[in-house]
Amino acid sequence: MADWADLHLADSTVGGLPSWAETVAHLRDSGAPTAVAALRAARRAGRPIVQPRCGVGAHDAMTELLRSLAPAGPGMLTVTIDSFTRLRQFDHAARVLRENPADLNGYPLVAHGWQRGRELVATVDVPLEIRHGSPDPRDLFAVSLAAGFTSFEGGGIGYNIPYCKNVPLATSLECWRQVDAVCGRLAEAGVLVDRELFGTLTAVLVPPSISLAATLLEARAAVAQGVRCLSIAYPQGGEVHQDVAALRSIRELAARYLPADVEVYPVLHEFMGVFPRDRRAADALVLYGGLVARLGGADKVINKTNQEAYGIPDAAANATGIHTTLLGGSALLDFVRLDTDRVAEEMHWLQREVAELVDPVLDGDDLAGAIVAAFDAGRLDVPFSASIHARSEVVPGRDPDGAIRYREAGSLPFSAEVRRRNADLLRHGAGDPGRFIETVSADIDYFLHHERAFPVPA
Amino acid sequence: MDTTRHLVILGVAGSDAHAVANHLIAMHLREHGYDVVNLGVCTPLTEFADAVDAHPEAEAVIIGSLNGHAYADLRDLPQLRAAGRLGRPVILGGNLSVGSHKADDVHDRLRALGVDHILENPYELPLVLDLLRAATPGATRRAKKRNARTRTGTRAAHLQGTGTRAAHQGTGTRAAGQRGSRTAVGSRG
Repeated sequence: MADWADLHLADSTVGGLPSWAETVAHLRDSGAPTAVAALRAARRAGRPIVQPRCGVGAHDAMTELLRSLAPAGPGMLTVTIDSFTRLRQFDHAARVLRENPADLNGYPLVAHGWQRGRELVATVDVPLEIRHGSPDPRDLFAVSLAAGFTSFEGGGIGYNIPYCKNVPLATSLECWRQVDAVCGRLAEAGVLVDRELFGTLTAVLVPPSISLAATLLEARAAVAQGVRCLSIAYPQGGEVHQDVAALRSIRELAARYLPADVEVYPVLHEFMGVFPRDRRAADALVLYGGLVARLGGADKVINKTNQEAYGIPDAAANATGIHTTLLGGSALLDFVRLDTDRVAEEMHWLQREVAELVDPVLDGDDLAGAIVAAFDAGRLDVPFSASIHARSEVVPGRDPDGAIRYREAGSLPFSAEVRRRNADLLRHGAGDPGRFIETVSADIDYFLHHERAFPVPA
Repeated sequence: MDTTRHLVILGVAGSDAHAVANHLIAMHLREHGYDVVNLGVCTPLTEFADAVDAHPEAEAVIIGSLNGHAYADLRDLPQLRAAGRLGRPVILGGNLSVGSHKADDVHDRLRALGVDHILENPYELPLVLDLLRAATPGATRRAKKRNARTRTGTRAAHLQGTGTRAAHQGTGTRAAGQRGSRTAVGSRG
């Protein structure tokens, strides 16, 4: 291991990197579009920009993929990283890249090297974000910075709990603390790197207050290291009042819990769960996501596609998804108004739940230690966790309108009022307790059931 | 009336990161009064064997496999049994093979490895466990012996009992390109 900008990295990574000074100078002076500029423009315009996920192994293919998506009108593009690189298996990623790059499920940036990364950044006229899923992203982050990427997704909770079985939270939080500290150094040098937080978590019936609590804690940790630009992502649950309340709450919670000089951009992930299989039903859900993002005041929306039920979308389907999402957020649907009382009531209770989750954790000097202790005790929890470091005692369920509530709150430190409200809302949708698995599965398959209710002729 | 506590070991096969059904089955069994040592996703057979060693009162080992690689993931079961390990009934369920293999053939091959029960429906689990207990004279005795001991928190026992956690750092990460349309852990960066 060796150090580069205070990041502890593999020797092989450090050996190939340009100097820190050259990296900072390139980020500041290259003239390439930056993520923060794109987000600020979206805020001014009052409509979300759209960003697809995309990543393939070979450099030429990645370049071509970015070029093919740009005409659909994304405000930001993605380089999704392969799973070997996510796990720091850089040599293995390099070998697969040599032997059969089509076997990689993303772009192995560390194996390709920062010079090729700079070529990608120069390929299109929108900023690029690195999206991955690494509990220890330090080498990937260093190469991303050297390449000139101005947005980097992840955090010590959101890129651990859904992605690995047994990486201690203390480990991932410390790795991400180092990343955030480098962003703080860059901010002092006049370079704003957008740090996006992955509130989607396990993507399966995640109660909104759990999503917002996790990203708020990551945001506090990031800001303590000097981060000045945060994108806070929330996953579309499916009930419009709840989703709009959650997105609007991101700004209010940021105003309450974060310093005023930190830029915070709400982001919507279009529905991340089980998607309709019919192409037209899937398109409708993608359009709906764009509308929810606009109604909630999101500055960015990560789009889905009409091939979602079948695997990684091809470039044409992804381009259609971008365009459909843009339409959903466009003036075409500006006539849509929501019941403001209902949204306000959701916001009140949601923010109360978030406060009950995060306030005890923030009540001390050691934030990372408090996060670890809270997950260990189940005072923070994520349903359906892949990691054994979240208890997954929480059982979510949908109320009769489709909003996600707490069927079981486990050891979450909720007040009697919060517990009672959740129980009341679920009373009529609780299903037969003897068919527990089917009841929860039906809530997970919510949009599949919608699709089946309106069979579309072939 | 049998009021003893019964403990089972649950997990997902070694190459499989599908978490949702695993959690649902754990909750279902706990609702039926079982103590569940849930080893979670991506659990190699050796870790199931370690868990049996750490919980000798365990009545069965329940393995889910949804990615079609059940046979490959359970290939070493005969060697482990020959070495005197994993000496509990193994119950297997999920999507057990890739593609259109004839189910009977797949089940025969899995039984030849030593899988004791193949489940079509997780709701059958309590019934199958009851039948197993009836057919295994030592089972109730093991459970009673266990209940005579002072029981610390089941969570701590669950987490610390296997002693092999560090060996699995990172094994549960899903492939980046598996898009989340299945009832899996569907999250993506």
